[in-house]
Amino acid sequence: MKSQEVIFIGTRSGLRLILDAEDNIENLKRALERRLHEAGGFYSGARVSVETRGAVVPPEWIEEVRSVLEDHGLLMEERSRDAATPGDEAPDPEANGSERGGAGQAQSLPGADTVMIRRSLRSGQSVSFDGNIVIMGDVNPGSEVCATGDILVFGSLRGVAYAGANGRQDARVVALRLMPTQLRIADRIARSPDGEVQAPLSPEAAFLRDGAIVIEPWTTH
Amino acid sequence: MSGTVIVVTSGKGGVGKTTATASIGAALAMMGPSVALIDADIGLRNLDLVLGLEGRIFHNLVDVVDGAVDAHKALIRHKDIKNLSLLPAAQSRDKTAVTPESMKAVADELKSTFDFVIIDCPAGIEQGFKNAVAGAEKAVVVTTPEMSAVRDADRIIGMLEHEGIADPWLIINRIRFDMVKKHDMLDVNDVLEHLKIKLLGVIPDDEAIIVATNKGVPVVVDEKSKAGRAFRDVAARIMGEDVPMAAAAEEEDWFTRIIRWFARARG
Repeated sequence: MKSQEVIFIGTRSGLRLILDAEDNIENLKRALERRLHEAGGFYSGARVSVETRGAVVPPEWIEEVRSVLEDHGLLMEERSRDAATPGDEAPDPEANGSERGGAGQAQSLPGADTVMIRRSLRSGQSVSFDGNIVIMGDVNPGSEVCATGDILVFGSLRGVAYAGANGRQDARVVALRLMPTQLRIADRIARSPDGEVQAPLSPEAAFLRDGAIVIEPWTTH
Repeated sequence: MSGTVIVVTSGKGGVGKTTATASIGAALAMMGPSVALIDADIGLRNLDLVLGLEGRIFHNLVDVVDGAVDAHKALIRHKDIKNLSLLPAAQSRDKTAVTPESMKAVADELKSTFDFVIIDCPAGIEQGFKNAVAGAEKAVVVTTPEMSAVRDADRIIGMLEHEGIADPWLIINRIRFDMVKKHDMLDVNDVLEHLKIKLLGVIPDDEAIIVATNKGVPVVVDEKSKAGRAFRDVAARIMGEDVPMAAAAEEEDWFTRIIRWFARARG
């Protein structure tokens, strides 16, 4: 019933292993052993990139995971970026209780440039991804979405959204109800007006025009 | 037999977790099922006081976790409500005296003989919270109609999901319909629109709660109290009864009340 501690995802460039960093290493190792055991050598010889979801993990954990993987004949890839210092361009996305879409490693994945999240983000949860993010749910106040590309929210966006996190000037934030606490696009920041905010009646898009963040009703042109 | 373990939690302090735990527990027990309450707020215990059982504490949760006494032996039977028992918190220790595993073991043991085991969770999102939710299958999230409490409830709902407790129930406590009507207070729909979980009950702000708490008599015993009635409705809904949200409806204003009073006087 508990959310999965270890998740394997197959991609064109190899296997991704996502660890729930809010668990402890003993549980993770046990879950990983179990998963590999169930797979019965299926993953043997595969190259695995290890990612973490949630808090920052100590380097010893990664070494422990490496030894488990190697015991089962898997090869762990050197990580493209030190996951112990993720989100240097992101506004503290690893807060906690977060579900990180694998920032840090994901840029090495050709084609996998949009992540789909089929639930709401609640206060304290955050997602960051090197690419676009689509959320089928609400983004509640106190949560954060950070993407190097566009952000699309099929629900109310009331938390903090950061599109174009690597500086992309053409990044957009679109939501059915766009009423964020704060919006960031590339190097620009806008915040919601003080006082009561009326809920918008139609979907809106935020983007940069002449160096300022503007919000307009969403149209397909 | 295997009972249901329910944790009552909120994130924010002072929204009425302990009152809700005591009231729901007492109301359920009065309807027939056997209920064990666990006070997981180690170091800041209150549940015994609210239930009027302070003087009867002999063993506590930490004694049980330490293995000094069996969980069933440590329980205190309520003096008036015979199906209600309490496992009190230790006052001289802190949250680190218990682990999530040991807490789960206690809850599992109690649910073998009780229909409901209700855990009063401490405020916060740290170890005390992790302990309290460890053995729970269901959760009741208590909030008040204030933005800060609603935000914290949102955070807690996310954390409950992470712990594998999906679809928690919501109680909106201390609502004042006169303020809602003047748009000075969030209404039920504002809160639901934000949190999007199942509403278990709306409890009106009621001075009877303060009186009941100080006297150590659960408010649900008070037939006349509006909050007491709302908590009895909550218990009925937990039992699976389909009770309409009476309290969520507009409270009568003085004018309707006078008309009704005249009507009754005439008839």
